[in-house]
Amino acid sequence: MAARVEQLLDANAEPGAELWRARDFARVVAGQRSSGIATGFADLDAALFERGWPRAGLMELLSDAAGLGELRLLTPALVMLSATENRWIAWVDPPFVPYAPALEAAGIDLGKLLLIRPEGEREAVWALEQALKTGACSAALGWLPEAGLDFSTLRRLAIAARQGGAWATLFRPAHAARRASGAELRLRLSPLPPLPPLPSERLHVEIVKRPGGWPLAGIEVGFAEPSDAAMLAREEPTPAQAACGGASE
Amino acid sequence: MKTLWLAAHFPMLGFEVHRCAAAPDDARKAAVLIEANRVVQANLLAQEVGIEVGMTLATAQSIATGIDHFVRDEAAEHKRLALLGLVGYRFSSQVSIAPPAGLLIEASGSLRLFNNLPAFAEQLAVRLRQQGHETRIAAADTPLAALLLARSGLDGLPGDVQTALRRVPLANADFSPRTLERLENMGFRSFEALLRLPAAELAQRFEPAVVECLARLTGRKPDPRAFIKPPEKFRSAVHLLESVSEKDALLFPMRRLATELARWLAARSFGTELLIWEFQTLRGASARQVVRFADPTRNSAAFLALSKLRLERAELPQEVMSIVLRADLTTPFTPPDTDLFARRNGSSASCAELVDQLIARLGTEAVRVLAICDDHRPERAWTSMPPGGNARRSERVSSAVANRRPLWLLDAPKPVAVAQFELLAGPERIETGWWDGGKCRDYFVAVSAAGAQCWLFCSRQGAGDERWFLHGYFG
Repeated sequence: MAARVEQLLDANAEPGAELWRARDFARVVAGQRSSGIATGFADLDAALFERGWPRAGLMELLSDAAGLGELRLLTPALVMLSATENRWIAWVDPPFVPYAPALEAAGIDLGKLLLIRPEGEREAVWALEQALKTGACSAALGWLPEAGLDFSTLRRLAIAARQGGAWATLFRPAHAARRASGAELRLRLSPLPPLPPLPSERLHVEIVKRPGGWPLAGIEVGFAEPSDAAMLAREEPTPAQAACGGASE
Repeated sequence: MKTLWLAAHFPMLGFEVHRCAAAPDDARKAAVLIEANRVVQANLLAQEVGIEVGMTLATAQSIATGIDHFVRDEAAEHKRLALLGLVGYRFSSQVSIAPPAGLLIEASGSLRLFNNLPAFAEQLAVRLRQQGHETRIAAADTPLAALLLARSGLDGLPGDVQTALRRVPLANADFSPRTLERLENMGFRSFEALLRLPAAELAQRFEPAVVECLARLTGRKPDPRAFIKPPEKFRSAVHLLESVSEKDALLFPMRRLATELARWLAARSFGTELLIWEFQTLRGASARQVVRFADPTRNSAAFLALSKLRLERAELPQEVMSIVLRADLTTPFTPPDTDLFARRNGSSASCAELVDQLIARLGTEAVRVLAICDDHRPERAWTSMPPGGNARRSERVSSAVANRRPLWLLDAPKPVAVAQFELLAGPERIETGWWDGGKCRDYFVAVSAAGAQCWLFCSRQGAGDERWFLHGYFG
């Protein structure tokens, strides 16, 4: 019996065969149309349905500490959206000030960013939902109070995102992973110790929930040498500035 | 193009300003208009009993006891004329007020719309009479001729004007009493004789005003008129029969006002960026709610939707009795360019709409866009402003930006113990403004115990006195 199964599997090993093994998710997804927003990280793209962030849907980033790299994870996609779409990128109640010089250095068009500071959880949910469903935002990032996020609210936000064709991202604490959510994609972020000798920055991404697959741990996202990334985003860095940027690291 | 003027004359304007709200029966009573205690105008019934212009009020009252008398109110007449001018504005964009009781409308521009002149004049007369004024209308090629014909109650139509003009009594022209007396003494009763005289001879014998008048009358000399401009402010009110305390119940009268405003704006090709609602109670307390739009708008549904959002978080007085809507900031409206095949999402209109909705509910301060400032100090290198302003594009790539900056900046630097961090890179020295009393700071990139990349700085107060602050996360 086992031998026959092996035989069958061997016969269908090549891509495009009618039989596929669930563990080859990446290979299967590769055959799908890649309609997602490219994350800018090849390993992550391979693990995601539609090979990128959902273009119209809700996702969650779960992490306990601020500043682990959650913004840099999204930056490549935000750069792409701000360059190609003439819609807002809404930031609903971020915990700190999104720092304009750094955002611009990363290549994000500041004119497309809309900073919304609602008072209270009800207003915050309303503002995010409004931003999503009007279709006036290509992306919306929300830091909503956990108390306001029950299942029906999350479901409503997911529907609003789909309706307005917006990529919605909610930032939530790690323990929220235990609660059910209407988000189609949920990622847990945790830090990885820097690799000596180079203080390169890495982030461990664990997929808690994804469409077309099951939870998956162990994706490692490495951020490019920051000064290089900043240089790449600019059009024509002069050698002097490149040298200056490199020296500071 | 040949001009064609319609003049409307309101012979009873002096009476009508006093009794606009009174019963129509009043017109059937003898009445006089007095100025400085002398009769300046008498209505038909008063004239029938023998009251003449120039009599004192006492004489008039002795002739007809119980006669109504009104003191002439020139300011009110002028105000009413201005209102009637707006009625005339429906018919032509060139409307001029001709005090004391006339209105001039240039008709050639909109003649085709009304098919012919009699139909035009008829519709104009109907509109003006609806306002409660006795109206006489005449047409002529020059404004002055039309006005004099209307004053004389003559029905001059173009072509026939010269004949009609000859029957216009001289008393109807705006000559000074002295000139009028002289003309009368010389035997001139109407314009007929006067028009036949050679102008040079006339100029020798009379004041320039007479020749001037004749030249304008016949069109030999241009007669420029100041045209009215409709007011660019809107104000309308609804007074409720019963007091209303519930916000939802207010929406119905508000919808009426919003529709009225939308029509008012559409008639003028205007849009507004600012609505002001006033909710007044019987006791005089009132609450104001301001609704702003990013772009000039003239859509009543948009007015109402945003106003509703605004109301939801507003404190209104109990027992609202009247609602006033004002639109002060009106600007010429250009309809948005719409593309037949445009995508449903992402039109600039929906982007502006979103901003309007957010501002209406959350307030102006809650919705911002980011911009860069030219300042080397990290906390001053950015700013936020309301959306819609011209964000200054910063093209420079200064060395400060070329260095690494965190994506998150803390509102205020947070004091920390440096022992909990592992320093990775630095220092980068940034001088703070000595004029603000700041000290220079040495910035470091560090990793916190939780694994987040942080932006720390060390501020030296003096020798050996180092203080560490957390200023941002690289996010």
